[in-house]
Order: sequence, then C-alpha cells, then structure tokens
Amino acid sequence: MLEGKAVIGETDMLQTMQQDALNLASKALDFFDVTEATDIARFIKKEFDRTHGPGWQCIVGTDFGSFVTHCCGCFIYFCIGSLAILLFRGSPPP
Amino acid sequence: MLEGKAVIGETDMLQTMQQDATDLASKALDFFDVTEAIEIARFIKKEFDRMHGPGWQCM
Repeated sequence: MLEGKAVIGETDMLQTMQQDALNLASKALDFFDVTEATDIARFIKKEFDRTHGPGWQCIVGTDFGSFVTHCCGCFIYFCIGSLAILLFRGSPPP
Repeated sequence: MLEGKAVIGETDMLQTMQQDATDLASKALDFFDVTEAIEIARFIKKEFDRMHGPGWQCM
C-alpha cells in the first residue's frame, strides 16, 4: 500500500477531489504494476468520470512534458512511487 | 531537420491534420532540445489551438 506516499506537484482542485485522485492512484497500484501505465490511467479516468462527471483525461508515465487546457478546478499533477500522473478535465470545444 | 522521420502510432485524424502535427513536432525540435518537453508540448498545443480551434491537449 502506498497511501501517504504521493507528492503533489501542481493542482487546481478541491482538497476532497485531490484526495480522491491520490487514493485512486494508490488503489490502482494495488491492482496493477507500475509498467501497466495505460491500465492505471484507464482505472483513474473511468472512476473520475463516474464519481465527478464525464470528460476526464489521465496520463501516466515516468517522463513526459505536457501543456493542456483544463476546466477550472479540475487539474492535478502528482507523483506516486516511480510514476507521474496527470489528471484533468479538458475544456469542451465552444 | 527531422521532417519525414516521425512514426505514427495510432490516429483518428485527417491526413492533412496528421501532417500538421508531425510538421510542428519537427519544427519544435529545431527550436527546442529534446529535454525541453514542456516547451515542445506548449508549442504544438498552441499552434493547433490557433489553426484547428481551441481545446487541444499535448503531452
């Protein structure tokens, strides 16, 4: 169990939602190995779509740069174990 | 110049738009070093927002 080991890089998200993200990542790492990045991303994204409404995007990896447009209050970037995780709700096209 | 060296993994995009993406990545690598991942992502995303409408994401 990796609870308490996540390190938040940047966030624009309510504390409770942040905690949901970290808990889900920890739970994902009980089910999946760190090499199963896509499965971890799917797990987190699908659960966030279910619990916080649709439209979430999740990127999991060890080394990536990103530049995204996100909805207000729907962004978190954190590290857990050897993985970096980016989770955000993308802004819908006008 | 890295034109023509990109390898497409998966796509759901018109050929012309695919070409825009690979051209921009190549152009970004003329401006930035491979270690400047965020700058490269910013460059590509902002240009796509400009050319193809807002809301693009780049990792």
